[in-house]
Amino acid sequence: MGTMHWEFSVTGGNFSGAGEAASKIKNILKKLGIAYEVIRRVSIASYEAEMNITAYADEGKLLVDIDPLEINITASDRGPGIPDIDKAMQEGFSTATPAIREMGFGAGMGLPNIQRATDWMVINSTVGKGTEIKFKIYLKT
Amino acid sequence: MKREELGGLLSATVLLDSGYEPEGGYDTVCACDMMSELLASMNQTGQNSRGVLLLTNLTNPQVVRTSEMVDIRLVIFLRGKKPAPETIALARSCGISIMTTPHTMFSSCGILHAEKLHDIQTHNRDV
Repeated sequence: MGTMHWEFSVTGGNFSGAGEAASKIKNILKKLGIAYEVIRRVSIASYEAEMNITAYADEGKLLVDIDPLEINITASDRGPGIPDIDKAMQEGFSTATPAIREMGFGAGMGLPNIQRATDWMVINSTVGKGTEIKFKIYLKT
Repeated sequence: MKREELGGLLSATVLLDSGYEPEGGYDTVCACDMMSELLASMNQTGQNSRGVLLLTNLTNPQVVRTSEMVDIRLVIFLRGKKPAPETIALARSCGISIMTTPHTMFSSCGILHAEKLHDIQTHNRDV
């Protein structure tokens, strides 16, 4: 298996479609025969990342790269950005609107959940421009 | 425990039957209204999701989408709530069964706990 690449666009505010990209990623991994535990971790992290774009940004995308050793995902968006990343990483801290909370999100667990589910994660953000979250999960046997 | 038996204990109505029954039956409960809590719990179990059911008061499509992400195949809505058609439609496409029980979260958990079903935090099935 060489390196495979996929790209999925995510529309900000489209709550009814939120999770479609993560669902597609999950189905791709299943078809590739990736280990169950890895699929679940990728699903959790990519779904949380997609929910963040849906909830906070104007638009964004999930880029997925799979090589024989690891799965790399970049969730990038055009949006308000994160003023204080350390604070955003604190469990319980949230700037979610009531609409987001009605969906069962906005408890301030999204970014910590991504970190817990992945082997490596980094956030770059510029206020007023957007955010990029990169994460990696190793294809351990 | 088989789905039909669970439904009987909870006086539940089947709204959508995917036909799926986990090998060994349902034995673990995640009772949760926060979807990120559900994702966090399922991430920490490190185990297969077969046999896990979700009890929740939320009825929006994200409940089904979140369940799909962590391979939960049975969702039971509480206090007689019935989800919108789009929630049912998504569940159908994901192969997830839907039931609704007149019981509250507290009562439902009590009934299932008395039947020796496990909490998600102590979920320890073999993959």
